[in-house]
Amino acid sequence: MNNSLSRLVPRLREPALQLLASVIIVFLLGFGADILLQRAIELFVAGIVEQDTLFYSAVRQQDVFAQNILALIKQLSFLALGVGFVVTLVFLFIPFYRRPRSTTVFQSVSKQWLKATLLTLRGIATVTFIFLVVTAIYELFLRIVGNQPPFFLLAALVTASMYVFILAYSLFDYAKELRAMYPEAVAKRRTTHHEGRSRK
Amino acid sequence: MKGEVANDGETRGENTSMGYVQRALGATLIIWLSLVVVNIAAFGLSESLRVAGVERNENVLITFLVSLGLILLALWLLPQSFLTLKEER
Repeated sequence: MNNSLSRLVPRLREPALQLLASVIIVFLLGFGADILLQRAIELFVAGIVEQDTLFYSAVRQQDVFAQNILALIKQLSFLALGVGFVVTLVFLFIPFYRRPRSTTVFQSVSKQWLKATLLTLRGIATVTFIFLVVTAIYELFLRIVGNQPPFFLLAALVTASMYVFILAYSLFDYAKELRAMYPEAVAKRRTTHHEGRSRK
Repeated sequence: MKGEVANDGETRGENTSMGYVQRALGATLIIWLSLVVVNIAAFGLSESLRVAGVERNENVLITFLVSLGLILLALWLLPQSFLTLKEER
């Protein structure tokens, strides 16, 4: 047990594993945050449906239709997250294995990777919190004002779609940032290498 | 000297956290405002369609698709730092 642990710890210091771990953590947080917000919006829509039981059947039909659209948004967002995760891994790891793997290059980049990962995690957590607060405020309005048939349904759909777009953009920006760090590090390494040679 | 360095570090830390809180509040306000604008536009469109006699389900679908376009437009117009909550590079 101890032997396998001691073998695993130096492996975790390898740049490829660090990169993989940070990408997995960011996408897992994104996935969890998406589930949380979609659940909050589902509860909000359930509140709308509950208030609409007194309305005539066309309104209830509209509620069911909106719930279907919401389920579609949810499934598409999960699918997009999964595809995004795979594409990010391919996008990051193909150039990683094509170029020479020098540990000194990656030691300098791993700090930048860590910083980018932490900033992205903080950003996703904050945006999710903002959207949860916005959903809670809509829920409060719904309880105070009462349902004005399509308004709150549209608000729920718009909030869910906007959150999915922002989450996708944050993850895309993170992948782009990680990718941009790699050539910088290689270029730095090459420059220092050439400078060292020319001095000789 | 050591005390000054420590004070500098503390002030920088406070500024960073204050900066982040301000940015988060700014982002909240901007996201909230854009949601309100999109919602009002969507509700207006939905009411117009209802008056025009469009069926309820179609009404929701058309309004939702138009709102998606409006959301994309809003996200395109908003500065990137408001969406990712990172400092502008």
